[in-house]
Amino acid sequence: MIRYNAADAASIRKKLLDRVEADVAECYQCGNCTAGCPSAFTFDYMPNQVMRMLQVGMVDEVLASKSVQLCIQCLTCTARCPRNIDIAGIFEDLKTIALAQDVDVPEHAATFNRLFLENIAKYGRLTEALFLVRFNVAAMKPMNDTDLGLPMMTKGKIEVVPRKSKGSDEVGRIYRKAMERVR
Amino acid sequence: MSTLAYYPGCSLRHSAAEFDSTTRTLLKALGIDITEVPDWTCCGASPAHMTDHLLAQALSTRNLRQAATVSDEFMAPCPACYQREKSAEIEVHANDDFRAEVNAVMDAPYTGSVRVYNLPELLLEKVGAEAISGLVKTDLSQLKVVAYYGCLLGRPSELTGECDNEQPMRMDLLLEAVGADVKWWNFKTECCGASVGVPKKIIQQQLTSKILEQAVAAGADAIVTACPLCHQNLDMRQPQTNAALHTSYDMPILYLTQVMGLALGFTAEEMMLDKHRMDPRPLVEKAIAEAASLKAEEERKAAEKAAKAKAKAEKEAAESGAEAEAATAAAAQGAPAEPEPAEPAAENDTHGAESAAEDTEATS
Repeated sequence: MIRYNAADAASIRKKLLDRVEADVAECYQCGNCTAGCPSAFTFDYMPNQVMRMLQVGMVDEVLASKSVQLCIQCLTCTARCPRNIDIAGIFEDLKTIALAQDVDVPEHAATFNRLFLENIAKYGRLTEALFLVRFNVAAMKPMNDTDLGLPMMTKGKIEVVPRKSKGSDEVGRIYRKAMERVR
Repeated sequence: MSTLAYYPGCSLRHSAAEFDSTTRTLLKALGIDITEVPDWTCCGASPAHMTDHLLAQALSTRNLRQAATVSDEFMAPCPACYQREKSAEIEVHANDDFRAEVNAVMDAPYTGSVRVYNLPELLLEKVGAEAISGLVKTDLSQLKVVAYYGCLLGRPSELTGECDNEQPMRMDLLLEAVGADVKWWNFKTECCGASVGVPKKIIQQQLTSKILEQAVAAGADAIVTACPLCHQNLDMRQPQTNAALHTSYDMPILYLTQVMGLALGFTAEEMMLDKHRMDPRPLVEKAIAEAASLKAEEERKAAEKAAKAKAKAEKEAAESGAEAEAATAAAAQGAPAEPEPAEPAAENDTHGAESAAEDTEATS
């Protein structure tokens, strides 16, 4: 179980937020990030709107938004920002803060990440098939991707019996130690 | 050090087993000695860096520490692994305080300085396009492809060392070096949807279908990628995408290593083309056969032309000895062996004197 150190965790979150707020000050609302964003069509606030909301202090609204969770981290916005703002990095920080603050996030993106990390913390290397089964159960989508099962099985692309790899114990310790600091 | 630390990553163990196998085969053929990173573990991928920064960097740095025991050069074929490991390399090497923070959560500290490469970068730097060209055995000139980099092989160029964020070139250069017909397009770095294909399908399906659409528009018969996740979305999920969006794409998706391996003379079996859902074998076989018949046709034409020219020259030599002598003097500079009369230029008005001289060289 992860121990919670409120003081440390709060200071880490504060540092991240300070960085985010300093960075968004540079934004002049050209909209390049939104124009190039491949998943903006699923967002509730467009990337440039998120920048503006952060500039005027609407941090809680941003943290609870779909946008932060549905960012794919493709880095297109970062590459195209004329003010050299690492927008994808800001979304990444926001996602980690939302997670650490237990914000009730939309979609299953957070579940996906948690189950992925729990899988590697146990096995060392991702055991893909087992992880997918776990995710489908947690997301209550039991039929998700079952159509891929047969072709992947016949082409020998599925690990039927998951095995722990040699460095798995250390990965587990790294996961617990790192997460102790923030939660 | 003479060996390269090779990091397959989780996907290459099962869902992208053919990428692992063909990468190893290709590296061996190019004379690059590899040693698998001892007891490597997951790089953390996107879930780690979307959860906590230190967690992400520590998971990646652990692999650099393991790699340092065999080499100070490290290569991950998977662009997602590459990007995580490269990010850890840059931050940990530049910032001693951060390295100490990372070392505090690992079992043993990382003190080395391992350089991380991606696959196209490694091939261009260690072997080079010219040397690779020299090894080509199979003509792929009739294989029309686009190079698809995805998000993490080219972007951000400050990290990857690519020439441009929007138009990376390394894969294009390698594919051109092995003689494939590489088409130009603007979707080299458009996102395919990555792992969002699992929790939120519609994003991945929309993005994947745009890439397929653009590849067709560019005149490509196949998409070449070097990313197991892009491959999963474009190949394994292509029927899903077709069903959801009422499209009917039938586009083979090849790994960079498979195309290069085919050019270097490996068979379709050795390049594990049977592992894909959108079967690339008919296309590859057709392209290779077409190139062979084109080459045979060209050779036949060249031989015909040479025979004609020879017959004509002999005839004219018989008719007028003096004229042939003059032609010999004119052609003496470039092609001393076979005298070509001055007539060819007149025979085909559109050709200048230069191309006539070239013809002489080609036929002699």
